[in-house]
Amino acid sequence: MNALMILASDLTGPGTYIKIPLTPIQISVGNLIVIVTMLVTFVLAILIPFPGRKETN
Amino acid sequence: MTTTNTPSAITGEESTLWTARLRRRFFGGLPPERLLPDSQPAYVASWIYVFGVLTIAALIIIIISGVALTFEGPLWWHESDVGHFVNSVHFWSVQLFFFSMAIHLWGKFWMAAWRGGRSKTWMTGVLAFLASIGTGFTGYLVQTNFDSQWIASEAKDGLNSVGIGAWFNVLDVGQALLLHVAALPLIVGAITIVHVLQVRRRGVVPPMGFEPSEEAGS
Repeated sequence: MNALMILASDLTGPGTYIKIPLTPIQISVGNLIVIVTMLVTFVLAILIPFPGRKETN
Repeated sequence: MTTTNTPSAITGEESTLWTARLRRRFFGGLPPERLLPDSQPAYVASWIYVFGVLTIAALIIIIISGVALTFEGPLWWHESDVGHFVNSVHFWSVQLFFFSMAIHLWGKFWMAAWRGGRSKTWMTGVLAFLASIGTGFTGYLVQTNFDSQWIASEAKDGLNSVGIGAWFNVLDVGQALLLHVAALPLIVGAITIVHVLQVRRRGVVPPMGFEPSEEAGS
């Protein structure tokens, strides 16, 4: 995890890329982390109750 | 201009002056209590509704830091720690802007937020997204470093292949800079204002199955 964070946060050096086998898809580790974080944030935003919300029928 | 102290003065709902027509058109669909409401429906109490506001908050920081950068020019951040800091604020607020805007878009897509006569709200959001991509792209072009040179030299082939290279020359830093600091921010800002006014006018989209009777079936 720590190595991933270093790869994602180094904005000055050359990027590190992941190639999905048998597909033309190639993505940088930094972009992949951002996309996964966005998806996780999206799911959490739906699931986590909003403070002060009153449950109604 | 019609004066109000003459016996034949036509005012209010009867006036055909463009000012009166514009006033009726604007405030007819957007009375002050709807423009600046002090309460929202219960379903708005969800984190998914926060990301639209977060996008606007990030946009405000982008504009403030961008205005600061314009006073010192595109080379400032290479030679000054303060410039580097302001440039970083600008850059990371753009990351937050796109991060929150994408989540806002996903949320609205899965809510089918164009329901209930909200197609203009949806379409202005789409236009704001597209204009923001152009603004972000021109921002990468004016970094004045090897990264911007690489992006420009790669992008020129793509833009030439679709036939717009003669008008949008990504190798012209002056054009990219003016597009980035003047034309495109004005477009993004204007579309965002129209988008927010549409949200105020139509209200936040209710969950599916909970539409008011006048919206059901639209």
